Amino acid sequence: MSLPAAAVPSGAAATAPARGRVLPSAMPYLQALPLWLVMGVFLLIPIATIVMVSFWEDQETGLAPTFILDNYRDVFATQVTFTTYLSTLRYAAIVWVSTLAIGFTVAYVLAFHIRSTLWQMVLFQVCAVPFLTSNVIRMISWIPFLGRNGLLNSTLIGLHITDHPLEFLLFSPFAVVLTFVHLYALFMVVPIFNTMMRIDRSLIEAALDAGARPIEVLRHVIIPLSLPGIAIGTIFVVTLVMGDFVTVQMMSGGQSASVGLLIKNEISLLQYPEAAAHAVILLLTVLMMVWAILRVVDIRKEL
Amino acid sequence: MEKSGPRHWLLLILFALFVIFLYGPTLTIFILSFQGPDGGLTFPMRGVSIYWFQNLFEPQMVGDFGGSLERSLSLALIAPSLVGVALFGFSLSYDEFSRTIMAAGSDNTLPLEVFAMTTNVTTPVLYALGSMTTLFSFAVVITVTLTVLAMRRKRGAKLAG
Amino acid sequence: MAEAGVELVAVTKRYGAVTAVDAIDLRIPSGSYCCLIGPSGCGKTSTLRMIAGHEAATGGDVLIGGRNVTLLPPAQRGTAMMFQSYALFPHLTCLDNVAFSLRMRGVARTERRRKAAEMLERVHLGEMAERRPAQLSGGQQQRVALARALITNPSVLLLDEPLSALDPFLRGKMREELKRLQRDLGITFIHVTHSQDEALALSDLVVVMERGKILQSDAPRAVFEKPRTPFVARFLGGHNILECRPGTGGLALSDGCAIRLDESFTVSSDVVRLAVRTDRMRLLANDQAMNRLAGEVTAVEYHGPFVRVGLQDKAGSDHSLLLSEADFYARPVALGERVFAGFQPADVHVLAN
Repeated sequence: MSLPAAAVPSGAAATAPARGRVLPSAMPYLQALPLWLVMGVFLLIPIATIVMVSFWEDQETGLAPTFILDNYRDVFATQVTFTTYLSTLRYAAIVWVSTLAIGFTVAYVLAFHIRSTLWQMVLFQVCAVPFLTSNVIRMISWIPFLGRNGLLNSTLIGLHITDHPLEFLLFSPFAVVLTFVHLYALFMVVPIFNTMMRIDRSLIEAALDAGARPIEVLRHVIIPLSLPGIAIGTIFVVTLVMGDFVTVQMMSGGQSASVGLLIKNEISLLQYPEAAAHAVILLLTVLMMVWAILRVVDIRKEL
Repeated sequence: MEKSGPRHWLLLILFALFVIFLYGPTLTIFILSFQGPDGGLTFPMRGVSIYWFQNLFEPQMVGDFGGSLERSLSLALIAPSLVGVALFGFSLSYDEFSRTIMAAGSDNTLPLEVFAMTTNVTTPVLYALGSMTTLFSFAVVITVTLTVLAMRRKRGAKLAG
Repeated sequence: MAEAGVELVAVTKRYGAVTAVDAIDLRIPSGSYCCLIGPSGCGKTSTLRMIAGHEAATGGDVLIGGRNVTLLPPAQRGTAMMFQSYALFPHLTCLDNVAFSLRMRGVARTERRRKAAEMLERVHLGEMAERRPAQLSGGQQQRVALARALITNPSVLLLDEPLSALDPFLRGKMREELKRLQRDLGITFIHVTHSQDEALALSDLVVVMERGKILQSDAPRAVFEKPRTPFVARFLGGHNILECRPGTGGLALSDGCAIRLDESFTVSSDVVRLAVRTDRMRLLANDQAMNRLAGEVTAVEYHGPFVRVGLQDKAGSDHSLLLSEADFYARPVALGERVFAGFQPADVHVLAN
């Protein structure tokens, strides 16, 4: 029974070289070629360029293609680098904790507390749609809400909770964090929701059968099994926040710094080698963070 | 898992709060995009009009977008969403999602002009643009969802028959 | 072990407008092996889940050991459930899986690990303690699930189609093991299955369900020999169903052949359905006046110890004869041949409509 079935593919493979005029062993590589081309052109070459430029010299006449370490020395020599990194990491940490708390809760409700599949789909779309609209638009939409004369302040004054507009709401680190959370919460919701939907419902019943209280089901079953989703969401959110410059500049009103903003400012001053050096260090930092996350959680099953 | 009791309702309320958090600001700018011609970037509303929407599509007026630039901009803002939505509607799996991020997420680094525009433009025309793109995304999502549902129903009917 | 019979009193489960379980009454004696059997959607799984407490009864009461547990959570009922897909926690080792409920009960780590290891030994999986479920075969996973269910010393073990995911060879082995375990532990087993073989082989009490109702519950032999309705007879298999009409001299088949039987019966309608076991029919050498079925041979299947002959009567109904190998080859028949099958009055059983 299994013999002829096994013979078919090998027969097909045997005729393949005659038709395609390529060695069968080369086929997989050939099929992967387009992907490699795309990756090469759009990812590897740009990164290689950045790494290369980071060793060039910034002269008054232009860029000199040399190999110097001055750019990196400059980066590490200034206090600004460290305070900027600290500020960016702090943003990443606060935003990560907030999006994780919100994302996990929302995914949990969607996955375990909505009865019908149709409603699950509808509510998921409701959560997802805003993330398909322009980020810049979503960012500025906080301005009339949080501003001095914004909705929140008017409401608070109207309710006599405060007698003067709260200044910390807009153009402040608070506004930056709020906007980040608003922009990136879905990147936590989606992967966590995905892993949660794959949790066999009978596992929860088995836990209840074993005498677990709902909070213990969460701790011993749902959270451990959602870890891959949490890791993927964490990678999304952390890398997005680490590389951001628009949100920080706009929502902090220029009061806050981020590594991305630092690089952007250097670029606008045409200091390409310095910017490249910063970019390489930022890239390495983020890669190390991703590596650390992958060391803790095995996400292979999710991909 | 129990689907009743105070815990269940508390969780549903938290979910509702998240939706309000998501949509609240967008709703604000949607309302503000109907500002009267003398209205500013914040409340109060000085009349209700579609002045800023007209402004958006009439480059000759005192808008801040030059005609063709404006058109290409709104297209650029919409196009990634289009791709994203098209992919999104079909599947909610990872591959699709990461592509959506690539597509839709790219407008946070869109031409710096867009970014500059948001800091320079001081009229609700900006909100009008925002409302338009958001409505457009909604329309596409709903269309795709309905199409998928209809296709599924059709397939279901075919299987049953 | 405390008296732990299970009793269902007018237990009902509705999902919206659909009634999955319709006011069933059932008494399962303590320490017995009970099989709930029926086609899919008959309400057997809902019934099991209501006993377990994973499904709330819409109406009626569930009593375990005389105690009304209808409103109690699963863990307080003295039951343990073995799930169809085993529901082992994929992120925990076998030992931690087995120790899970002890952990939930606050048993100290060393103590619960010792007990779990003992239980794993009992199901012959001691050396697999540190493996993850995904690293085990289906049969091994099932034994882990069994160990996990038994570690809390339940008085009732609930099994949801426990053997359906196994290959036929393992299924047979596991069936023996389940029965032995039940006898050794002396606790009540309630086992949901759609396999007649399983139900007949394992149980002290077979409960046949259809459309949310219990059609018949009795010892396996009683159910098989005296199915109450045509549905039970067909579902259990091994029966030919004959439609007769009452006439002046008694019952007669549609071709006029008279049927004599030992069982007494009352005629309540114009059709009386009779069941005759397939292994109690014989091929006849010639046409006899009574208790014979005429038909055309539609199938001859060799099964080793016996041969199945398929027969189609004039009305188009299919029947089967299980003949011993020797009997068949003493007088073989061929496809398409017109034959007569006879049976004894003692082997005719009257079905309720």
